[in-house]
Amino acid sequence: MSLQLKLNWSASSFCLQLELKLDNNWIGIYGQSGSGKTSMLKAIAGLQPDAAEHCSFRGELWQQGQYQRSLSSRKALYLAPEALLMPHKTALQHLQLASDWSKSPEDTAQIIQDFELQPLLALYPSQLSSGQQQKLALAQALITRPRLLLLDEALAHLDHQQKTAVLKQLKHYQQQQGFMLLWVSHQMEDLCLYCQEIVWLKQGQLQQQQQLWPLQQGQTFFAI
Amino acid sequence: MLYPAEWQALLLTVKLALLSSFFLLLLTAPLAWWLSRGHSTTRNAINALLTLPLVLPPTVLGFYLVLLLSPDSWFSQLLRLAGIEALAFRFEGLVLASMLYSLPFVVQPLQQGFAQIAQELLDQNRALGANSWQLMAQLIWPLSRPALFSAFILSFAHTLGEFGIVLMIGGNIPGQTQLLSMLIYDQVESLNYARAHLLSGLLLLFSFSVLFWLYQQQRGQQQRGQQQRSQK
Repeated sequence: MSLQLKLNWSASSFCLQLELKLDNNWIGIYGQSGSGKTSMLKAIAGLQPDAAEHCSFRGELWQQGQYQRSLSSRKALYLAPEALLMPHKTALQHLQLASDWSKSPEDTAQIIQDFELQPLLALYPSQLSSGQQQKLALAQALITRPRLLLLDEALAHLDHQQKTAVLKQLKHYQQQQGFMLLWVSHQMEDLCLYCQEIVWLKQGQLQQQQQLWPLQQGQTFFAI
Repeated sequence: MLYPAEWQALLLTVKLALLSSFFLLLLTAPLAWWLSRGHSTTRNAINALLTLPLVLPPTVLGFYLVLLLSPDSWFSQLLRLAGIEALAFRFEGLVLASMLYSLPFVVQPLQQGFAQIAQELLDQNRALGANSWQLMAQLIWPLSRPALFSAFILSFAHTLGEFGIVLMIGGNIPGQTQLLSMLIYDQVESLNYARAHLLSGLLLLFSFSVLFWLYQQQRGQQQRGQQQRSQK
């Protein structure tokens, strides 16, 4: 099993309780607002430690009771709906810093080309549109060669054309780097197009976990 | 224009304000950082304690400092073990007193500035691979520089106006503890209004300039931020 997860967490009016085993590399996560999608991703990334009882990834224990693997050694990146960028750094500096901090970084020039970031490089986050910010955050994440990428509506501000281009590159880098991808989206048709498996949450519970047949998924994807 | 004694008092005042602000910033920055990382009963209690110098009359602080700095106190005996004489009526004692007196003027702006640096942003960059030093150099330091600057200036200006505590623990010794505010008090007491006018005017003008400069700097930062946004 690639990712094993057991969540048990209750806040004032919300209860998140589920057990999940995931093996595919492209997982779509679907559910109404407030169904626990964000909490689940954050728990996996280690950003909400009290929510998870157990979490392990590719045979490596990430969390068990009090034990917590550090954020930096997980190489799991959570991308929020509103990209978390440094207000005082330009787009280029974001990419360079991620490259400097990483032990075996992806080629920055290649990423800039693939995600068409050239015209944005000298700009600060406040000068970028929310869609451009999301693209930058994704490019920054890919530079570090993550092992697990957690997208929380992290492409939602891109227009259809841009989203298609970004997803094509994302697929390319996924095959090259071999990371696992958990993608939260409200666009069921996007999830069906790109994902191998869909997890459906409802009120903090696992409603349904569905493998998609390769015919349903792969062919439409490669036709794009 | 100024007599030597007045020059001495002026220089001593500025020296005191610079030194105490510097040490205060150094000592309280880690504390303010911790306070900015959330809310808890312990944090609230410490916050209340740190704000006390703002609401207590200087005489209360001064009274406790007199007790603390007097040669027979446990504090002075500890200092003596370390080879340091009792601090009462000495410049070093004034530095300590000024640090206490200006405490809220440093901790509050620092805390507010640090709170602007979202924990999510720090976590995100840690997950991207930054270690603590890199976070400090690339994120925390550049983002908290304006707050550090404001805290220093506020503490500096506030220490210039220190009077009540100095009156109680200073002893008004020229060159050691005679500050400008004390000198003005003496001149007024001896009905020497001309000198009092001159020194008061000087202090007023200087304090105004410092505060005006501070606000100009802050507005400059805001404008730079807006320019960046409007270039979109």
